[in-house]
Amino acid sequence: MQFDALFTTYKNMVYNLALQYVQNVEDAEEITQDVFVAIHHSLNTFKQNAEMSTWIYRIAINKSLDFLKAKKRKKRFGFIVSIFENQETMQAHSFNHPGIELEQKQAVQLIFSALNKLNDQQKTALILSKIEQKSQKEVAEIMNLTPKAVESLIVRAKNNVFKNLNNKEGL
Amino acid sequence: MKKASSNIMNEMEQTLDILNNIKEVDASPFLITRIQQKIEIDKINSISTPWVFSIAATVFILLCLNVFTIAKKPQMNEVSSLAKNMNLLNNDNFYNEQ
Repeated sequence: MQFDALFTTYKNMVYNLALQYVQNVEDAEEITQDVFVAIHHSLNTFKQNAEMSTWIYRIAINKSLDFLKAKKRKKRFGFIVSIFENQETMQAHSFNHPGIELEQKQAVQLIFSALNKLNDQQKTALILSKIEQKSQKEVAEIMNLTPKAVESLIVRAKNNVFKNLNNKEGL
Repeated sequence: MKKASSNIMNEMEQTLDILNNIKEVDASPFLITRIQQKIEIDKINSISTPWVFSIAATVFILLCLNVFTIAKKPQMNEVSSLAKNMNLLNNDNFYNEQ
């Protein structure tokens, strides 16, 4: 498959997945660029026995998680900002998800702030199953896990999101 | 007890169901241009693999030659003893100056 055709087919898939991780248009665009540059570099090494979309999903997930880690590291060093603003207000400022309708924005933002506190695996499992509407089998394939493991990951992720939401409401 | 936990589960599902309403959005049409630009910059900045190997090989050969030369160099003691045996001066005082 030619790179241009590949881009046309998968650009929205990559962009939307990145959006679920970072909830910010600029960051999602940056991740999308990085994903396709990585695809361009390793297109020759792609093994045909794996599904192309699964392969791209894996690259997009890794790039998104790497981006979030790098952003966290940057924030840690930006101590002047952290003196005056806490992390949650900073996250709220950068929340810019175009896929959410205005009347639901506040509720979704609250869920995302709880989702952002999950560990990488739980976050990925929940994003793929709940937002990307993937079946447990597909999630298992993308995450290189068994469907049983994915099932328990999703249950734990939902419980933790709920706990985080309750903690927030309790404050 | 069971009813309470199923209520919690339902509440949980209902809360998370709001995530199903997130709509798919289109990526910017300018992304491809930016990606192509990034690929070009990467191409310019990256040194090709044969070059990396040839530079590494040259450095390695130079290092080996240095080690070989140092190992082969006669020790000063040997030179001094040889000069003494042959009644040669091993200093530059040729005219027995004080």
